[in-house]
Amino acid sequence: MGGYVTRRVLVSIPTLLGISVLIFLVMRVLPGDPVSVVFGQESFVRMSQADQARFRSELGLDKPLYLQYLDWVVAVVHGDLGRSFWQNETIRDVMLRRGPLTAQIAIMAIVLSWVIGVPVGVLGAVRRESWQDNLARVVSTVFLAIPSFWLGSIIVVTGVIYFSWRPPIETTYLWTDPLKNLEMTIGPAVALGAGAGAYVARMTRSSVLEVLHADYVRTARAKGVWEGAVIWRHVFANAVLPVVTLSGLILAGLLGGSVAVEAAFGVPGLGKYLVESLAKRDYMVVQNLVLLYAAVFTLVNLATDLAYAWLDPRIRYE
Amino acid sequence: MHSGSLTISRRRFLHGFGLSVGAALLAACSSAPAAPSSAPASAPTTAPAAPAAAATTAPAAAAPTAAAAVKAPAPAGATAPANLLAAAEPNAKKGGVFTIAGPGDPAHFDLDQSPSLVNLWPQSPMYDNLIRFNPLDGGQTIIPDLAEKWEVSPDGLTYTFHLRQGVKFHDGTPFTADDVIATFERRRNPPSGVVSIRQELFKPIDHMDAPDPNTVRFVLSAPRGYFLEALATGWSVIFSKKSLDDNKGDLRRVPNAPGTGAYRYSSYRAGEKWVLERNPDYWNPNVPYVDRMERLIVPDGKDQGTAVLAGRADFADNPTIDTHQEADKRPDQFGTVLHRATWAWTVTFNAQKAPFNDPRVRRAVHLAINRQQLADTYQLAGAIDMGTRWVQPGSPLAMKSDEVLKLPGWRADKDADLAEAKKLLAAAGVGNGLKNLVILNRGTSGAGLEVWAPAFQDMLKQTLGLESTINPVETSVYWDAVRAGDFHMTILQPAGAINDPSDYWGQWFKTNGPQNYGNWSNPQFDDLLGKVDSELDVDKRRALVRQAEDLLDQECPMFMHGWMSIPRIWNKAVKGVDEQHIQGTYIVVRYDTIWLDR
Repeated sequence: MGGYVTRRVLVSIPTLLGISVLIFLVMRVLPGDPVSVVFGQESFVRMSQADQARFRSELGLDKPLYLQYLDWVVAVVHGDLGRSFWQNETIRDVMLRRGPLTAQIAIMAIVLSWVIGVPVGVLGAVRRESWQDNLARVVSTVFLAIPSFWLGSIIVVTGVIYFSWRPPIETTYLWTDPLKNLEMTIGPAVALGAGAGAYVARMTRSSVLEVLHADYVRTARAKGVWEGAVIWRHVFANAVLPVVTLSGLILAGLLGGSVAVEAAFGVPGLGKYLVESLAKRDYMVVQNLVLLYAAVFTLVNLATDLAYAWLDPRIRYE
Repeated sequence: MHSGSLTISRRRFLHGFGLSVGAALLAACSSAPAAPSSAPASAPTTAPAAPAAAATTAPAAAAPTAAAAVKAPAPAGATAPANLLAAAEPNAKKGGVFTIAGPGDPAHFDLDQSPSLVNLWPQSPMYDNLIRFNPLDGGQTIIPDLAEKWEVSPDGLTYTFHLRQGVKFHDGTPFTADDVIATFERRRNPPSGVVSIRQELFKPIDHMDAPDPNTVRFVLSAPRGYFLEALATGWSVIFSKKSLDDNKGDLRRVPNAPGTGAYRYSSYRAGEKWVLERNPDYWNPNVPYVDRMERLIVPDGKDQGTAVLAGRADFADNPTIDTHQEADKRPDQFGTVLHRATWAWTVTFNAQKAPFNDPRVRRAVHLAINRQQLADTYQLAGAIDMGTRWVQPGSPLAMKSDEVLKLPGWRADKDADLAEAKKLLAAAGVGNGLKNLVILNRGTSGAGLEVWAPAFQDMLKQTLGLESTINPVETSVYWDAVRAGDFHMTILQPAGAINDPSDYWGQWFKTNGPQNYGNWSNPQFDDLLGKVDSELDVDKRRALVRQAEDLLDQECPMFMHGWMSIPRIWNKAVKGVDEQHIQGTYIVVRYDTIWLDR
């Protein structure tokens, strides 16, 4: 087990390095001058050439590309993520401030997707072709088709117009004011979790259907085991693996892909920060965030693989 | 891996999952969007403030009006110390937290190096000016601030300000004439590496001196009819000399540079909020009224608007028009205004590139486009004032709206204008129209691109046969393209610092002006502008301005659609400022007379 994890971690290093080279080059290839954006056109046109060069030098943009890249990678290895071109704020601080909200929303969305998707999927499988199954399939298809940012906008607009309510704008963490924090995060979690729940429901239904007629299920029933126990202990426990795989992928996607939903609710999370930074050509922020997402994606994948062995004793990692 | 190596079994996991499901459901229910406590406060009945006539303590009677400042720099009288600014309402209450939902984060914190409202609105309440626009009448008069009184020499060249005594900066440093001189010295002649955005306003200062620590004298090289307005604009705050020296004249990294203002810096968190608190040692004990001002950083205008509608904020600086309209439906709860902005909606022509290097083609566009119809298309997203010409409405120099609407190009009836436009195009050799013109647009989404630009593009094609493509680009690319001249036309909303054509024309139209992005140059206009700058008599100045406007109508360096308004909404519990009469974006910005009726 330890050896397996070590191997997986080692294999992820070249992956992350490759991504770091890619994002570094992409940012340099994109047109647009960060100094011009930071100062704004009215300031920029008033600057002397010497001052423009000095500010580029302050941002480390005057060095050859390979040196800029090495400086960045070496600093990251030492735990220094650098500073934003915008306001000179340390990127580590911004990640610590904004990251918890994004992570919390993603985790809540995943929990919600299980809360909705698993019972609906199991019910659909157990009562196949019943009106409940048909209804569940129609509803899940609808939520698969609805973009999460649209659902988010509808939640906000409905709240404002009919209930004079909208989620708080001010950042509140779970550990400072849990209720206010939930008010802030439940909307984005629902908007994201509804779509994810539809995926989970469909995957659960098909997995449960595959297991439902297995021999050991028939045996359990023959022994007189209570039907609920048959479904949850014998059927669902053996059908859960594909659902876990799917949820791992969804979670990794949500951590980086909740940009539009964060924008719809005005939540100052990391996704929104990434898009804003991209428009501002804030190279360091974009590079570090992309690297963070890559690392998180790798870790979530690893955790998912490890979860297989935990959930299914037949799987061994040697 | 064996499951026994873990401390949680599969069965416990599934049980735990079931419990967490229940807990999540409970949590979701407990945070359901009922939240009645966040509903807007009960509706007061009065508007935010009465106009200046209701003011009881403002020394407006002794101060020159903004119009008077333009007319002539007439000497102003003294102000009695007791006659200090206060909210107009006699029942104004102290205390509370005033919450604003305002636009995004600044790139840096130096007001003098910024053209942006994301610096001005949060930071200016920490500072005072020498003189300021009166918030009680929407900024229509100028009143004393750190200068208790002032005199202007008959030739309009020397301005002497008598400073308030006993004033301290927030770090305890006493305020003296040296601070004023250091502030304006940096503004007119910034050190290397520092940019002064409003440098042109203060270039006419020949020198400054301080006969004593409480008196400061500005001596101009030429008279300027707008000089008092330049000192009164929200941008012209006074910094401490010590703070400027400590930071080598560059405040870009200093969010808390001490001012003398009614509010002190408390905290700033990027992407979240500014917090300012009442300055207990403020020289005017009447203000501020609120204990704390929190400015939530809400980049999206829709979120700003919904924050007020849902009671999450008291005031929104720049909400979207749809949230403004929603607030309009609830007049008992919310106040609204289309606030006149100090910027215009334009299309700048590249005057160095065919076909727009020919004034006849530019004028043809000016004549052919139906501004009223174009404004109707944009009403879904914003407001553009009709009946405005090249001078911002509200200025004593502006032409009356009904007169503007009779002029060729500006009028709604297009028959004669269109015929004339086609003649001009034919004379310019493009009577059969043109293809492949490029309209450069800053931004890749939003109403400007999605609503206004296609409508303009279509009108060009339908009326003049000028076919174009719209090229939407990000800000980071836009200015490179503008500098390189890679456009025929570009949609721009250029701004001025004060409501005076000397300021914004100097930036937009003067040869090599800092915002003259189309590189238009006309010596006759430059000469006229020089005369407008130095003329003190308001009637003569107005006549010169009219000549300049006639010239602009012929030359058309840009297609001027109109001056813009931005929506504002507030909870009716907010009192103390005359939002309805504010004539510009940078005039009333300090929120010190705001009080909360709840």
